[in-house]
Amino acid sequence: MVVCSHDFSALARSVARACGVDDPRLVILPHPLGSLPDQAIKTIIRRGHDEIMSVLTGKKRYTEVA
Amino acid sequence: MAVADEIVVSGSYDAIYEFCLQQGWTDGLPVVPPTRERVGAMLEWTDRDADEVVGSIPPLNGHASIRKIAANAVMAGCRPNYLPVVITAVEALLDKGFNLDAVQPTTGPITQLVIVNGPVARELGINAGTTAFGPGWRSNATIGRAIRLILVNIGGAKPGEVNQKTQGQPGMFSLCAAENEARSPWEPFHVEHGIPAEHSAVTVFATFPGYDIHEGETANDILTNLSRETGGMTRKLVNGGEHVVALCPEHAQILASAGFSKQQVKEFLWQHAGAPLAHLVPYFQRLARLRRANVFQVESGDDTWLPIADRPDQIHVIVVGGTSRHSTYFPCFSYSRFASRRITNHCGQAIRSVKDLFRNS
Repeated sequence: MVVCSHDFSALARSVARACGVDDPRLVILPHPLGSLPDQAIKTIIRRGHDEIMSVLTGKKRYTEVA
Repeated sequence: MAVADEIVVSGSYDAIYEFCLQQGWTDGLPVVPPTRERVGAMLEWTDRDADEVVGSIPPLNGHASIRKIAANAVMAGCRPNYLPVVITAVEALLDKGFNLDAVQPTTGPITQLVIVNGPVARELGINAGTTAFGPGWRSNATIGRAIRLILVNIGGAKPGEVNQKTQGQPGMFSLCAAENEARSPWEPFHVEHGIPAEHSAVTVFATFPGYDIHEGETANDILTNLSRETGGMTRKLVNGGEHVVALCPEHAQILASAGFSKQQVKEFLWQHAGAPLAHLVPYFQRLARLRRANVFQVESGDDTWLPIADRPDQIHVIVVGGTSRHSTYFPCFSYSRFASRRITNHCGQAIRSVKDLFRNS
Protein backbone atom coordinates (compact mmCIF):
# COMPACT_ATOMS: atom_id res chain seq x y z
CA MET A 1 0.00 0.00 0.00
CA VAL A 2 1.30 3.45 -0.87
CA VAL A 3 0.41 6.50 1.18
CA CYS A 4 1.23 9.82 -0.42
CA SER A 5 -0.06 13.35 -0.79
CA HIS A 6 -2.06 14.23 -3.88
CA ASP A 7 0.77 15.96 -5.77
CA PHE A 8 2.91 12.82 -5.60
CA SER A 9 0.28 10.35 -6.75
CA ALA A 10 1.59 10.35 -10.34
CA LEU A 11 5.09 9.57 -9.05
CA ALA A 12 3.71 6.78 -6.88
CA ARG A 13 1.88 5.20 -9.81
CA SER A 14 4.94 5.50 -12.08
CA VAL A 15 7.29 3.87 -9.58
CA ALA A 16 4.77 1.12 -8.82
CA ARG A 17 4.41 0.40 -12.54
CA ALA A 18 8.20 0.26 -12.88
CA CYS A 19 8.22 -2.33 -10.09
CA GLY A 20 5.63 -4.41 -11.93
CA VAL A 21 2.60 -3.29 -9.92
CA ASP A 22 0.17 -1.79 -12.42
CA ASP A 23 -2.64 -1.19 -9.94
CA PRO A 24 -1.13 -0.28 -6.57
CA ARG A 25 -3.27 0.18 -3.50
CA LEU A 26 -3.20 3.92 -2.92
CA VAL A 27 -4.13 6.22 -0.07
CA ILE A 28 -4.07 9.84 -1.22
CA LEU A 29 -3.79 12.51 1.45
CA PRO A 30 -4.22 16.27 1.02
CA HIS A 31 -1.21 18.28 -0.17
CA PRO A 32 0.91 19.69 1.37
CA LEU A 33 1.65 17.62 4.45
CA GLY A 34 5.23 18.56 5.23
CA SER A 35 4.44 22.00 6.57
CA LEU A 36 1.54 20.89 8.79
CA PRO A 37 1.95 20.65 12.55
CA ASP A 38 1.78 17.14 13.99
CA GLN A 39 -1.71 17.68 15.39
CA ALA A 40 -3.11 18.62 11.97
CA ILE A 41 -1.64 15.47 10.43
CA LYS A 42 -3.15 13.36 13.20
CA THR A 43 -6.54 14.99 12.56
CA ILE A 44 -6.36 14.06 8.87
CA ILE A 45 -5.42 10.48 9.69
CA ARG A 46 -8.18 10.10 12.28
CA ARG A 47 -10.70 11.48 9.80
CA GLY A 48 -9.61 9.00 7.15
CA HIS A 49 -8.93 6.07 9.45
CA ASP A 50 -11.70 3.79 8.21
CA GLU A 51 -10.93 4.47 4.56
CA ILE A 52 -7.20 3.89 5.12
CA MET A 53 -7.90 0.60 6.86
CA SER A 54 -10.15 -0.45 3.96
CA VAL A 55 -7.24 -0.05 1.57
CA LEU A 56 -4.75 -1.64 3.96
CA THR A 57 -6.93 -4.73 4.35
CA GLY A 58 -7.62 -4.96 0.64
CA LYS A 59 -11.31 -4.16 0.80
CA LYS A 60 -10.64 -1.18 -1.45
CA ARG A 61 -7.75 -0.35 -3.76
CA TYR A 62 -7.90 3.44 -3.61
CA THR A 63 -9.09 6.22 -1.38
CA GLU A 64 -8.64 9.96 -1.07
CA VAL A 65 -8.74 11.48 2.38
CA ALA A 66 -9.99 15.06 2.39
CA MET B 1 5.56 4.32 -27.00
CA ALA B 2 6.47 0.64 -26.81
CA VAL B 3 10.04 -0.43 -26.18
CA ALA B 4 11.92 -0.94 -29.43
CA ASP B 5 15.47 -1.69 -30.53
CA GLU B 6 15.33 0.97 -33.18
CA ILE B 7 12.91 3.76 -33.92
CA VAL B 8 12.67 5.08 -37.45
CA VAL B 9 11.85 8.74 -37.74
CA SER B 10 11.93 10.45 -41.08
CA GLY B 11 11.77 14.12 -41.81
CA SER B 12 13.79 17.24 -41.31
CA TYR B 13 16.07 17.87 -38.34
CA ASP B 14 13.31 20.10 -36.95
CA ALA B 15 10.82 17.24 -37.25
CA ILE B 16 13.19 14.90 -35.39
CA TYR B 17 13.70 17.53 -32.67
CA GLU B 18 9.92 17.90 -32.29
CA PHE B 19 9.53 14.13 -32.14
CA CYS B 20 12.14 13.84 -29.38
CA LEU B 21 10.47 16.71 -27.50
CA GLN B 22 7.09 15.00 -27.67
CA GLN B 23 8.60 11.76 -26.32
CA GLY B 24 10.15 13.67 -23.41
CA TRP B 25 13.67 12.69 -24.45
CA THR B 26 15.25 16.13 -24.29
CA ASP B 27 15.99 18.80 -21.72
CA GLY B 28 14.11 21.25 -23.91
CA LEU B 29 17.14 21.93 -26.09
CA PRO B 30 17.74 20.24 -29.47
CA VAL B 31 19.43 16.85 -29.27
CA VAL B 32 21.76 15.17 -31.73
CA PRO B 33 19.80 12.31 -33.32
CA PRO B 34 21.25 9.04 -32.01
CA THR B 35 21.54 7.34 -35.38
CA ARG B 36 22.97 3.87 -35.70
CA GLU B 37 26.15 5.34 -37.17
CA ARG B 38 26.65 7.89 -34.39
CA VAL B 39 25.97 5.41 -31.61
CA GLY B 40 28.30 2.95 -33.33
CA ALA B 41 31.06 5.54 -33.46
CA MET B 42 30.51 6.29 -29.77
CA LEU B 43 30.67 2.58 -28.85
CA GLU B 44 34.13 2.30 -30.41
CA TRP B 45 35.45 4.16 -27.37
CA THR B 46 34.68 1.47 -24.82
CA ASP B 47 35.96 -2.09 -24.47
CA ARG B 48 32.71 -3.14 -22.79
CA ASP B 49 29.95 -5.04 -24.51
CA ALA B 50 27.21 -2.76 -25.80
CA ASP B 51 24.53 -4.88 -24.13
CA GLU B 52 26.24 -4.92 -20.75
CA VAL B 53 23.97 -3.32 -18.15
CA VAL B 54 25.84 -1.00 -15.81
CA GLY B 55 22.88 -0.86 -13.46
CA SER B 56 19.25 0.17 -13.01
CA ILE B 57 18.59 3.90 -12.83
CA PRO B 58 15.95 4.83 -10.27
CA PRO B 59 13.23 5.69 -9.73
CA LEU B 60 11.77 3.80 -12.69
CA ASN B 61 14.70 1.35 -12.75
CA GLY B 62 15.50 1.60 -16.45
CA HIS B 63 18.44 -0.60 -17.41
CA ALA B 64 21.47 1.53 -18.26
CA SER B 65 23.15 -0.55 -20.91
CA ILE B 66 26.38 0.66 -22.46
CA ARG B 67 24.42 1.15 -25.70
CA LYS B 68 21.77 3.34 -24.04
CA ILE B 69 24.44 5.36 -22.26
CA ALA B 70 26.16 5.85 -25.61
CA ALA B 71 22.89 6.91 -27.28
CA ASN B 72 22.29 9.55 -24.61
CA ALA B 73 25.90 10.72 -24.93
CA VAL B 74 25.28 11.19 -28.68
CA MET B 75 22.07 13.11 -27.96
CA ALA B 76 23.91 15.37 -25.55
CA GLY B 77 26.49 16.23 -28.20
CA CYS B 78 29.43 14.32 -26.70
CA ARG B 79 32.47 13.49 -28.78
CA PRO B 80 32.82 9.69 -28.95
CA ASN B 81 35.96 9.71 -26.79
CA TYR B 82 33.98 11.22 -23.89
CA LEU B 83 32.09 7.93 -23.46
CA PRO B 84 34.46 6.44 -20.83
CA VAL B 85 33.86 9.47 -18.60
CA VAL B 86 30.08 9.25 -19.05
CA ILE B 87 30.05 5.53 -18.25
CA THR B 88 32.19 6.09 -15.15
CA ALA B 89 29.89 8.90 -14.00
CA VAL B 90 26.89 6.56 -14.28
CA GLU B 91 28.71 3.98 -12.17
CA ALA B 92 29.38 6.63 -9.54
CA LEU B 93 25.74 7.76 -9.58
CA LEU B 94 24.65 4.19 -8.85
CA ASP B 95 26.72 4.04 -5.67
CA LYS B 96 24.31 3.21 -2.85
CA GLY B 97 25.57 6.10 -0.77
CA PHE B 98 24.79 8.58 -3.52
CA ASN B 99 21.17 7.55 -3.03
CA LEU B 100 19.85 8.26 -6.51
CA ASP B 101 16.49 6.86 -5.34
CA ALA B 102 16.07 10.00 -3.23
CA VAL B 103 17.99 12.44 -5.44
CA GLN B 104 15.85 11.85 -8.52
CA PRO B 105 12.32 12.55 -7.20
CA THR B 106 13.11 15.02 -4.41
CA THR B 107 11.38 18.40 -4.56
CA GLY B 108 14.65 20.17 -3.71
CA PRO B 109 16.59 21.80 -6.60
CA ILE B 110 19.30 19.14 -6.73
CA THR B 111 21.57 18.39 -9.63
CA GLN B 112 24.67 16.30 -10.19
CA LEU B 113 27.97 18.16 -9.95
CA VAL B 114 30.44 16.05 -11.97
CA ILE B 115 34.15 16.61 -11.28
CA VAL B 116 36.81 14.87 -13.36
CA ASN B 117 40.38 14.37 -12.13
CA GLY B 118 43.52 12.97 -13.66
CA PRO B 119 45.13 12.70 -17.08
CA VAL B 120 41.87 11.94 -18.91
CA ALA B 121 40.47 15.32 -17.86
CA ARG B 122 43.40 17.03 -19.59
CA GLU B 123 43.32 14.64 -22.54
CA LEU B 124 39.66 15.44 -23.25
CA GLY B 125 40.09 19.17 -22.66
CA ILE B 126 37.60 19.28 -19.78
CA ASN B 127 37.83 22.88 -18.62
CA ALA B 128 39.13 23.45 -15.11
CA GLY B 129 39.78 27.17 -15.44
CA THR B 130 37.87 30.29 -16.39
CA THR B 131 34.11 29.69 -16.65
CA ALA B 132 34.59 26.00 -15.82
CA PHE B 133 31.06 25.84 -14.37
CA GLY B 134 29.66 27.86 -17.24
CA PRO B 135 29.33 27.60 -21.02
CA GLY B 136 31.92 27.45 -23.78
CA TRP B 137 33.55 24.03 -23.56
CA ARG B 138 32.04 21.10 -25.43
CA SER B 139 33.39 18.55 -22.93
CA ASN B 140 32.00 20.27 -19.85
CA ALA B 141 28.66 21.07 -21.46
CA THR B 142 28.00 17.72 -23.07
CA ILE B 143 29.32 15.31 -20.43
CA GLY B 144 27.18 17.01 -17.79
CA ARG B 145 24.24 17.05 -20.19
CA ALA B 146 24.66 13.36 -21.04
CA ILE B 147 24.35 12.52 -17.34
CA ARG B 148 21.15 14.55 -17.07
CA LEU B 149 19.63 12.97 -20.18
CA ILE B 150 20.48 9.50 -18.85
CA LEU B 151 18.71 10.25 -15.59
CA VAL B 152 15.61 11.35 -17.52
CA ASN B 153 15.58 8.93 -20.43
CA ILE B 154 16.71 5.80 -18.60
CA GLY B 155 15.80 6.66 -15.00
CA GLY B 156 12.46 8.14 -15.96
CA ALA B 157 12.86 11.43 -14.09
CA LYS B 158 10.76 13.48 -16.44
CA PRO B 159 9.93 16.95 -15.09
CA GLY B 160 6.44 17.31 -13.68
CA GLU B 161 5.83 13.60 -13.44
CA VAL B 162 8.52 11.65 -11.64
CA ASN B 163 10.78 14.68 -11.24
CA GLN B 164 8.92 16.88 -8.79
CA LYS B 165 11.54 19.52 -8.13
CA THR B 166 9.58 22.61 -7.15
CA GLN B 167 11.64 25.02 -9.25
CA GLY B 168 14.68 23.07 -10.39
CA GLN B 169 17.92 24.88 -11.17
CA PRO B 170 20.06 25.75 -14.22
CA GLY B 171 22.60 23.09 -13.22
CA MET B 172 20.00 20.53 -14.26
CA PHE B 173 21.04 21.19 -17.87
CA SER B 174 24.70 20.40 -17.14
CA LEU B 175 27.22 20.89 -14.34
CA CYS B 176 30.60 19.35 -15.06
CA ALA B 177 34.19 20.54 -14.72
CA ALA B 178 37.67 19.27 -14.15
CA GLU B 179 39.56 20.13 -10.99
CA ASN B 180 42.29 22.69 -11.65
CA GLU B 181 45.09 20.40 -10.52
CA ALA B 182 47.76 22.57 -12.18
CA ARG B 183 46.86 25.58 -10.04
CA SER B 184 45.96 23.78 -6.85
CA PRO B 185 48.49 24.01 -3.99
CA TRP B 186 47.20 20.72 -2.59
CA GLU B 187 46.76 17.13 -3.69
CA PRO B 188 43.96 16.57 -6.21
CA PHE B 189 40.58 15.42 -4.91
CA HIS B 190 40.96 11.88 -6.21
CA VAL B 191 44.44 11.54 -4.67
CA GLU B 192 43.05 12.79 -1.35
CA HIS B 193 40.63 9.87 -1.55
CA GLY B 194 43.18 7.19 -2.25
CA ILE B 195 43.37 7.12 -6.06
CA PRO B 196 46.85 7.43 -7.57
CA ALA B 197 47.56 10.72 -9.31
CA GLU B 198 48.28 8.98 -12.60
CA HIS B 199 44.82 7.43 -12.62
CA SER B 200 41.72 9.33 -13.67
CA ALA B 201 38.48 9.52 -11.74
CA VAL B 202 34.97 10.88 -11.94
CA THR B 203 33.27 12.16 -8.79
CA VAL B 204 29.60 13.04 -8.43
CA PHE B 205 27.99 15.22 -5.77
CA ALA B 206 24.26 15.89 -5.35
CA THR B 207 24.20 19.66 -4.96
CA PHE B 208 21.93 22.62 -4.57
CA PRO B 209 22.71 25.74 -6.62
CA GLY B 210 26.13 27.19 -5.96
CA TYR B 211 26.75 30.41 -4.05
CA ASP B 212 29.50 32.91 -4.81
CA ILE B 213 32.12 33.46 -2.12
CA HIS B 214 34.19 36.41 -3.24
CA GLU B 215 37.14 38.64 -2.45
CA GLY B 216 39.23 38.54 0.74
CA GLU B 217 42.93 39.44 1.07
CA THR B 218 44.10 37.12 3.83
CA ALA B 219 43.44 33.53 4.81
CA ASN B 220 41.47 34.79 7.80
CA ASP B 221 39.32 37.01 5.54
CA ILE B 222 38.54 34.13 3.22
CA LEU B 223 37.86 31.41 5.77
CA THR B 224 35.97 33.61 8.22
CA ASN B 225 33.84 35.02 5.42
CA LEU B 226 33.21 31.52 4.07
CA SER B 227 32.24 30.35 7.55
CA ARG B 228 29.80 33.23 8.02
CA GLU B 229 28.26 32.95 4.56
CA THR B 230 27.68 29.21 4.91
CA GLY B 231 26.97 29.22 8.63
CA GLY B 232 23.73 31.11 8.17
CA MET B 233 22.20 28.60 5.77
CA THR B 234 19.08 27.19 7.37
CA ARG B 235 19.10 24.15 5.11
CA LYS B 236 22.48 22.92 6.31
CA LEU B 237 21.97 23.91 9.94
CA VAL B 238 18.77 21.85 10.00
CA ASN B 239 19.89 18.89 7.92
CA GLY B 240 23.68 18.68 8.10
CA GLY B 241 25.23 16.53 5.40
CA GLU B 242 28.03 17.22 2.94
CA HIS B 243 29.35 20.39 1.36
CA VAL B 244 31.49 21.23 -1.66
CA VAL B 245 33.78 24.24 -1.44
CA ALA B 246 35.11 24.91 -4.94
CA LEU B 247 37.95 27.32 -4.22
CA CYS B 248 39.27 29.46 -7.03
CA PRO B 249 43.05 29.15 -7.48
CA GLU B 250 43.75 32.57 -5.92
CA HIS B 251 41.81 31.78 -2.76
CA ALA B 252 43.50 28.38 -2.55
CA GLN B 253 46.98 29.90 -2.97
CA ILE B 254 46.33 32.51 -0.26
CA LEU B 255 45.23 29.79 2.15
CA ALA B 256 48.15 27.50 1.32
CA SER B 257 50.66 30.36 1.58
CA ALA B 258 49.34 31.06 5.08
CA GLY B 259 50.13 27.47 5.97
CA PHE B 260 46.69 25.89 5.59
CA SER B 261 46.58 22.35 4.30
CA LYS B 262 43.34 21.16 2.73
CA GLN B 263 42.55 19.26 5.93
CA GLN B 264 43.09 22.39 7.99
CA VAL B 265 40.72 24.33 5.77
CA LYS B 266 38.07 21.69 6.39
CA GLU B 267 38.65 21.73 10.13
CA PHE B 268 38.44 25.52 10.26
CA LEU B 269 35.12 25.49 8.45
CA TRP B 270 33.78 22.64 10.58
CA GLN B 271 34.65 24.57 13.74
CA HIS B 272 33.46 28.00 12.63
CA ALA B 273 30.69 27.50 10.08
CA GLY B 274 27.45 27.20 11.99
CA ALA B 275 25.04 29.06 14.22
CA PRO B 276 23.33 28.64 17.58
CA LEU B 277 19.92 26.95 17.54
CA ALA B 278 18.30 30.29 18.44
CA HIS B 279 19.36 31.59 14.99
CA LEU B 280 16.55 29.49 13.53
CA VAL B 281 12.85 30.32 13.70
CA PRO B 282 10.83 27.89 15.87
CA TYR B 283 9.66 25.78 12.90
CA PHE B 284 13.25 25.04 11.85
CA GLN B 285 14.41 24.64 15.45
CA ARG B 286 11.91 21.78 15.74
CA LEU B 287 13.23 20.19 12.54
CA ALA B 288 16.84 20.60 13.64
CA ARG B 289 16.13 18.80 16.92
CA LEU B 290 14.58 15.91 14.97
CA ARG B 291 17.09 15.67 12.15
CA ARG B 292 20.33 16.40 13.99
CA ALA B 293 19.67 14.53 17.18
CA ASN B 294 23.40 13.74 17.49
CA VAL B 295 24.16 17.44 17.95
CA PHE B 296 21.79 17.62 20.93
CA GLN B 297 23.17 14.65 22.82
CA VAL B 298 25.12 16.83 25.24
CA GLU B 299 23.45 20.22 25.09
CA SER B 300 19.89 21.03 24.11
CA GLY B 301 19.36 24.71 24.91
CA ASP B 302 18.74 27.55 22.47
CA ASP B 303 22.45 28.32 22.41
CA THR B 304 23.35 24.81 21.25
CA TRP B 305 25.86 25.23 18.43
CA LEU B 306 24.77 23.77 15.11
CA PRO B 307 27.76 23.19 12.84
CA ILE B 308 26.93 22.92 9.15
CA ALA B 309 28.73 19.57 9.08
CA ASP B 310 29.02 16.83 11.68
CA ARG B 311 32.64 16.11 10.75
CA PRO B 312 35.39 17.87 8.79
CA ASP B 313 35.41 15.05 6.25
CA GLN B 314 31.90 16.04 5.16
CA ILE B 315 33.37 19.25 3.74
CA HIS B 316 34.91 18.61 0.33
CA VAL B 317 37.47 21.07 -0.99
CA ILE B 318 38.30 21.22 -4.70
CA VAL B 319 40.10 23.86 -6.76
CA VAL B 320 38.35 25.13 -9.88
CA GLY B 321 38.41 28.32 -11.89
CA GLY B 322 40.55 31.03 -13.41
CA THR B 323 41.51 34.57 -12.61
CA SER B 324 40.23 36.63 -9.69
CA ARG B 325 38.68 35.74 -6.36
CA HIS B 326 35.38 34.05 -6.80
CA SER B 327 34.89 30.65 -5.23
CA THR B 328 31.65 28.69 -5.12
CA TYR B 329 30.01 26.96 -2.19
CA PHE B 330 27.67 24.11 -3.11
CA PRO B 331 25.49 22.80 -0.29
CA CYS B 332 24.85 19.09 -0.85
CA PHE B 333 21.64 17.12 -0.51
CA SER B 334 21.75 15.82 3.04
CA TYR B 335 20.58 12.32 2.14
CA SER B 336 23.33 11.71 -0.42
CA ARG B 337 27.06 11.08 -0.14
CA PHE B 338 29.59 11.82 -2.85
CA ALA B 339 30.83 8.93 -4.97
CA SER B 340 34.06 8.56 -6.94
CA ARG B 341 35.00 5.95 -9.50
CA ARG B 342 38.24 5.42 -11.39
CA ILE B 343 38.06 5.33 -15.16
CA THR B 344 38.96 1.75 -16.01
CA ASN B 345 38.82 -0.88 -18.72
CA HIS B 346 36.35 -3.75 -18.58
CA CYS B 347 38.73 -5.67 -16.28
CA GLY B 348 38.72 -2.87 -13.74
CA GLN B 349 42.26 -1.72 -14.55
CA ALA B 350 42.90 2.00 -14.56
CA ILE B 351 43.58 3.50 -17.97
CA ARG B 352 46.27 6.04 -18.85
CA SER B 353 44.35 7.41 -21.81
CA VAL B 354 40.91 6.97 -23.36
CA LYS B 355 42.83 5.64 -26.38
CA ASP B 356 43.48 2.51 -24.27
CA LEU B 357 39.77 1.73 -24.74
CA PHE B 358 39.45 2.56 -28.44
CA ARG B 359 38.45 -0.60 -30.30
CA ASN B 360 40.16 0.31 -33.51
CA SER B 361 43.51 1.29 -32.01
